[in-house]
Amino acid sequence: MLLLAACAGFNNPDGWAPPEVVEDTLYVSLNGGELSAVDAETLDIRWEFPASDEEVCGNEEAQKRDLKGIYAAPVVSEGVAYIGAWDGNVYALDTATGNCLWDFETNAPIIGGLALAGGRLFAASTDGNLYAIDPVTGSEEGRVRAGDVWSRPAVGDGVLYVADVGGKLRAFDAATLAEVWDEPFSASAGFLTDPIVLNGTIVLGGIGETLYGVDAATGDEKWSFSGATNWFWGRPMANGDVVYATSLDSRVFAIDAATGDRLWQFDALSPIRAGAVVAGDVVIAADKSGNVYGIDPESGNQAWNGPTEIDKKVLADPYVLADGSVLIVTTGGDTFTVSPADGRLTTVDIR
Amino acid sequence: MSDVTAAPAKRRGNSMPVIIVLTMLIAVLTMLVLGRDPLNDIFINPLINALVLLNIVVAGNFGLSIILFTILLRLVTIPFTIRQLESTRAMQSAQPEMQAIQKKYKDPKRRQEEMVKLYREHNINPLGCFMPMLIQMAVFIALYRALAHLVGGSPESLVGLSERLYPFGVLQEQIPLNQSFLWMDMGEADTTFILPLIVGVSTYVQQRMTITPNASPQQQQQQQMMSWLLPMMLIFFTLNLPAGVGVYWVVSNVFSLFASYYVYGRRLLTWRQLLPTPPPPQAPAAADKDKGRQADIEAEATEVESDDAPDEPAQTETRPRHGKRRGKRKKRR
Repeated sequence: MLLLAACAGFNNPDGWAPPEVVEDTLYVSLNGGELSAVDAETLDIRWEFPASDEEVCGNEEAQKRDLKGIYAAPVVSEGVAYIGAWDGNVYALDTATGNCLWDFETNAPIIGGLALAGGRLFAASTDGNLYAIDPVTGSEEGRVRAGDVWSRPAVGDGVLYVADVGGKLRAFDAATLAEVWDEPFSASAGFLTDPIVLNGTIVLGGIGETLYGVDAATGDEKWSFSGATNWFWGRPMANGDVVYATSLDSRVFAIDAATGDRLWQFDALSPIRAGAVVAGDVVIAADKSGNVYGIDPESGNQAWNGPTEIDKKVLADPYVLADGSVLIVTTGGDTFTVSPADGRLTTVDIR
Repeated sequence: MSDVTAAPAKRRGNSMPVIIVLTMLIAVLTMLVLGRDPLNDIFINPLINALVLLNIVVAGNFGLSIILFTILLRLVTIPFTIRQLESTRAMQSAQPEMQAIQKKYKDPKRRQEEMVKLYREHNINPLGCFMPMLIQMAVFIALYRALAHLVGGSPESLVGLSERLYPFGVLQEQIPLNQSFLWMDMGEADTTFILPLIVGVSTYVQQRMTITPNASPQQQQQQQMMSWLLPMMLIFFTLNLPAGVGVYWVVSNVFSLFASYYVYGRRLLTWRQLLPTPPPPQAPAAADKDKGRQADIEAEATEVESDDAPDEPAQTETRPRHGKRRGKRKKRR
């Protein structure tokens, strides 16, 4: 009994897909391995996937679906929501009904999420492949070795930028899947953040405690920022010429996107996995322990009196709603909004 | 035939376990005073970093890293292991005398005194057997917790790992670890049954090798049962725990077998012991010696009991009957 008690505590994948509103639907993962489509006005749940123990995808027979965890927001296009899941599958869901139109199987969990480019859907799997998929039929149109990818590919000018946990950033032509750069950009440790494209610069970071600015055209390093003492994992947030990056060393950094110079840093109480967002005139970040901070983007000072405390684990990126408030989803599926003006917390009751 | 009776071993520094326990206690208290988590800071985090460091040595194969770690750990703790085995051997050789004491002295205080005397004569430290077992158990639990972060597989476990990994580039570069080893994933339970079976078999062999030949039939029955029960339990655990823990267990068992071989010698470790039958009787030389000592105890006990007799009439009445019965049973055999 003692042994069993001591041995409890393996972290099962739950997922930390950020919420996202497309048209009038909020897509959110409230339970590990489930995607809910919620009416953004009434907060009524329209559908959930998987809705039952057994699901039918396209013409396949009904089978048990256990997605286990979803780590990225769905890609929504032309009435279809595409998600990649920890079970290694890509699912195409009808946004009106939640019905599964097709599924596409890779050989390992999908953590990083999907990207649409040039009329094709791309899925980077931890099996080392980047798959090009027909978004209508779900059939494979090609694949290329891209490394063990944990982040969502970035798209810019018909090029896919794919970063892996081996510390390589590759650029692929979305039409041909051919590598664009002579050789990948290499770092000493793996990449975890979603890369973002900002004025011809790819910004990304990861295990090596360094944030990089990489030339999108050549793959050469433009700058690097090594001011953190732990990993970067939250998606960097670009605002004008400034990048806001959160780190697991409990800090938020404001970095000049052109030079990589630190403009300011903000100390939080606990490690920050989720990326920061800009809402109104405030940078908002939520740490792992559920403290939500409002930060003045100019000075890096706290905008409110102390953090707003949710007291629940927060790993998913916050999302700025149309009314300017910031939606935060905890690991257990509780949802809150935070007012960027004063940090006031409101519980969101999704039914 | 070899003389299986343990030669009185030199008295080693019995204070070593006490020093270790005290040091650990001081470290734990210091951590608590500093507001730190002693379990993580003293055991789990150093273990995590040691495993990642070893991963560099074995060229990024985490399975080999676990094997190397187990071997190093067992080498470091070998003084405790040898002492445990020697103590077990001494216990084995003292079994007849212990049984005689149990049989003859009904007064618990007197029996205790005689047992202590016997332990001293044979240089047995009953608590000494627990130290390696405690170390094994502590490492087993800490290893499990370390694996939960190292090869937990999920991104959530990696978030936890980021807080535990020391800030050295050389360690960070190893993450995430390559957790495939042979046919297994070190972070997943081996559902092929191969590893659980290897764990079960190696534990069974290790258990059988340490069965006490001179134990009473009741004790032998218990040992026989344990030699089956423990492997079965570990097979069940291995089916549900990450394969890395099973690999640790197997390597540890193999190491124990070598240590047993070193202490007991070839003649006492025969394949016959692996059969689920009672182990062969003790060597005559040892048996004769034990019989002599046993006779001394019995003679002494009779003397003591006759002195006790007026105070305990009921016991005096029943004793001869027990003696006769047991004597008859022995004759029948």
